[in-house]
Amino acid sequence: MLESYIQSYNEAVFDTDKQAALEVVDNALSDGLSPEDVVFKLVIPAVEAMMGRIEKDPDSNLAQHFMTAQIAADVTERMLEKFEQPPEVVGRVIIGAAHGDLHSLGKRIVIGCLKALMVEVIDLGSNISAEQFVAAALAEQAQVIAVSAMMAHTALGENGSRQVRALLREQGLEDRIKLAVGGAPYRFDPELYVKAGADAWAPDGVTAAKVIVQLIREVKS
Amino acid sequence: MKTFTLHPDNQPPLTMVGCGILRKETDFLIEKNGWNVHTHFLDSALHNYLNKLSTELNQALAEHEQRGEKTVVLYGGCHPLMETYLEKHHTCRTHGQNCIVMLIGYELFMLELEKGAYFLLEDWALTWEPMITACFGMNMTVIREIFHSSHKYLLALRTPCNSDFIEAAEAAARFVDLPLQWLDVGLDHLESVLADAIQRRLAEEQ
Repeated sequence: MLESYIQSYNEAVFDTDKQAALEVVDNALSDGLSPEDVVFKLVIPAVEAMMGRIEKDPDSNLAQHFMTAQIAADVTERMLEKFEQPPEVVGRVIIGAAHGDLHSLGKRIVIGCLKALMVEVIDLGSNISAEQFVAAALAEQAQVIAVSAMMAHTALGENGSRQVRALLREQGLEDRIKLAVGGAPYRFDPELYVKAGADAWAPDGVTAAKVIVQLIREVKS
Repeated sequence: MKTFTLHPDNQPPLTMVGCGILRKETDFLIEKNGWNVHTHFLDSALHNYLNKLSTELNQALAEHEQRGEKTVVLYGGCHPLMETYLEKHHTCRTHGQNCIVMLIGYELFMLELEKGAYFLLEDWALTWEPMITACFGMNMTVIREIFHSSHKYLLALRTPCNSDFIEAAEAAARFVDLPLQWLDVGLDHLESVLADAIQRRLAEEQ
């Protein structure tokens, strides 16, 4: 039964049909699936399967990535209100596009996946300076700063993640706040994250969410 | 009419490989200034397909190199490995992170971008619907949600080389359900960017 819900849900998401995806969720609830099961046994496995499918499909488009994450985040938020017990928040992440970068689509995909994994997200938006990232992480007691960059020069820019690293080091925060990066430049150069001063990187939304959860656990351990 | 004189006067020919988005403007400026530059333009939609951009740009540069031609590149940082490709082909490119910055300058670009502009040039306006649906699929609600999440208006840039693309621009704006604004721009900034790149390339021995 669960497999058929995952399949129906993903067909709807693949067609970027949010309404159809929500109907699948409503049917699953009516058939006795708990809100917790909807999130952990339907949505999250579905997102993973969908991202894998999209990555392999040469005709896939950005909208499918975007809607996969958006629908997952939306469903998760709706289900959280129905949880028997308030869910445990895994941790907190500050996310934004690097200084000089105004691309936000990839970041929004990551945010959707993070919310589905019970990570609290504070989105600073685009064109964010290193100082703003660090200040927000301290103010919000976040465990991770996630910086997205769509262009090589914003990935390695003066006020980008390298400067975030420098500030974390200067202020003795490296054990308390980890730095993750992502975006097109990193996909083309898997060692770029090291030059960018990051602790980790990810090639897609689902992996990014898992990497960030892992970094949160490292900080909390 | 002011021209950019390059040195040496009898400059050897260059082949400019670049994005077709500013084809008309580039051809105009080359002719106006009498620069000894041949052009090879690639499809302006390639910036949406980084793998194809990589293949076609590298192929074009290799072909011209094999013919013994000295190249210069008209692209921004449109591919994450652009600088690597330039180094591989012993060439250099125009300064500027993208075509809009080359046309209107960094300050004006950032000013409009931070206000929520999505820049529209003639070439994109004329191929808008197929380009957008190829990238984002056919679901209009999703397309508009994606555009509205980052942009507040379409800013059509009109250069002296453009045909009348008002209708195409208005259709593009309706398609994504954003208001349309216009900005008439000259070619001075682009001219200086091109002249600078050509001059730098001529100064290089290889």
